[in-house]
Amino acid sequence: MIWKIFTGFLLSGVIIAIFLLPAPQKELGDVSRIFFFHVPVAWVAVLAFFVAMVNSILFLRKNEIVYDIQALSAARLGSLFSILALVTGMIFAKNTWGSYWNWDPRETSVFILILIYGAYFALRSAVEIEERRASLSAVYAILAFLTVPFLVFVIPRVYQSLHPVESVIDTKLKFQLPLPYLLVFLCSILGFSLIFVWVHKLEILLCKFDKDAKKE
Amino acid sequence: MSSNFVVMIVSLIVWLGIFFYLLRLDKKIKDLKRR
Amino acid sequence: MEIRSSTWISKSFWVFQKDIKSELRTRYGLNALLMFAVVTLTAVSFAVGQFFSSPKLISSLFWIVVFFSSMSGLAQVFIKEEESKTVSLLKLVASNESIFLGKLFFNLILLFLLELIIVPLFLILLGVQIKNFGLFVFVVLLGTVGLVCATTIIAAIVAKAHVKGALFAVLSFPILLPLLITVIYGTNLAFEGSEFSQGWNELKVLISYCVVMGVGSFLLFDFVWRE
Repeated sequence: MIWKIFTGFLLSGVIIAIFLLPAPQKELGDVSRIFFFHVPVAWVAVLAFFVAMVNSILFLRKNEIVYDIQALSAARLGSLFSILALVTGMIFAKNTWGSYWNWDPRETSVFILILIYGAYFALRSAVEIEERRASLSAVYAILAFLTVPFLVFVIPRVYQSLHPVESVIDTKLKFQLPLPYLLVFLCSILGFSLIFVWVHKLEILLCKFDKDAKKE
Repeated sequence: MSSNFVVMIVSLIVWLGIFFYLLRLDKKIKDLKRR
Repeated sequence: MEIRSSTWISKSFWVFQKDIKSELRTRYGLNALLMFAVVTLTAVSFAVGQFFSSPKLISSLFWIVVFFSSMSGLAQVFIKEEESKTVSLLKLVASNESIFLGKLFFNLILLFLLELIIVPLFLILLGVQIKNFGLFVFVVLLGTVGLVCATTIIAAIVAKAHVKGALFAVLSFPILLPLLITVIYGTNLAFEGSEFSQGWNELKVLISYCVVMGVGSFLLFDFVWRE
């Protein structure tokens, strides 16, 4: 319970700090503040995928439907967060480089993540028998996660032969973040991760209650 | 009132709205648990 | 005590032979594959012809054709088992691993056959020059193996889901994306005549993709065919 209140204060503080501190990248102006929102949201999207995969493995091992519910909930949250990441990224791209979409590595990775989530939900909606749906989607989640390392390595290398644009800005922000910005950034990541954990737990409990109500 | 300030207040309101909504959901679940 | 003369490898060969025989009878899979590839190629060549000779475009087109042909033709290995209700019979005779390996090899041979027919057609109709043929062969070989390794288990998933058609493509595309990106880039290098050393990075990625997907799907197949 305490950590939930802590989350409330933490993120309120983060929001205030994001807007009261001078903009992180002076050349870009105010739009660079979105960095404090965009990166943590993208990070949580990947974290959600990881949680879904772990729960899928646990389901296949132990065959308890709980894990499937947890995987589904993580996937739902993850897709929401990746859409947010995509939109904020597009806003940033439009303001910085003039176009909404460029097919550069980071944008493509988030797009692929959304495709994977979409495929996962498509698979789930195609199977009606509960147990079979759970095992099939668990297998798919694990399979999809296996491709992630390839995406991380393949896309940047192939893209570099075309045009390196975003990597410049990202490395600048990461390695040259002075202390106050670094602090706000880390708190933002922590805050969003805590939101994810909180809503994830809530969804699982709600699912359990739904099931118990249906049994009666 | 710079636009920065306005956006900050709006995002604070949005966040606090979400936050208290989540707390309310929490309480509902605790009540359901007791029953 | 009975001496087991059939190991699981010979069982998988048996499954493979059975599928080949039934395929030769109906030729359903090969027809599906060829139909899409030839139609696409004909349409593009007829409309655009020799003007299409940019190597980058042709390498993308080649793999688009291969990918979508696979989507139309590779799922039927498992779907036909579900439809003809021979699943339980198959499971009685062979273990899950043998079934998976047998069908994987079947899909592999099918796709190789398709490519054997398509590559000359590409050369003839679109006038592309393959300057580094060795690299091209390696890229196509590894790319095909990777594609089949990743899609065979998805075909099994789709067969169990009892929904045909678009689901196979929807599920396969995100999984195959790293492969497609690498392999398009690799064939592009082969068309332009780059040395082997330049293409070595792509080959490394392809080999590791084949290994990871092959082993992963082999281990996970059990869970798909559990009941």
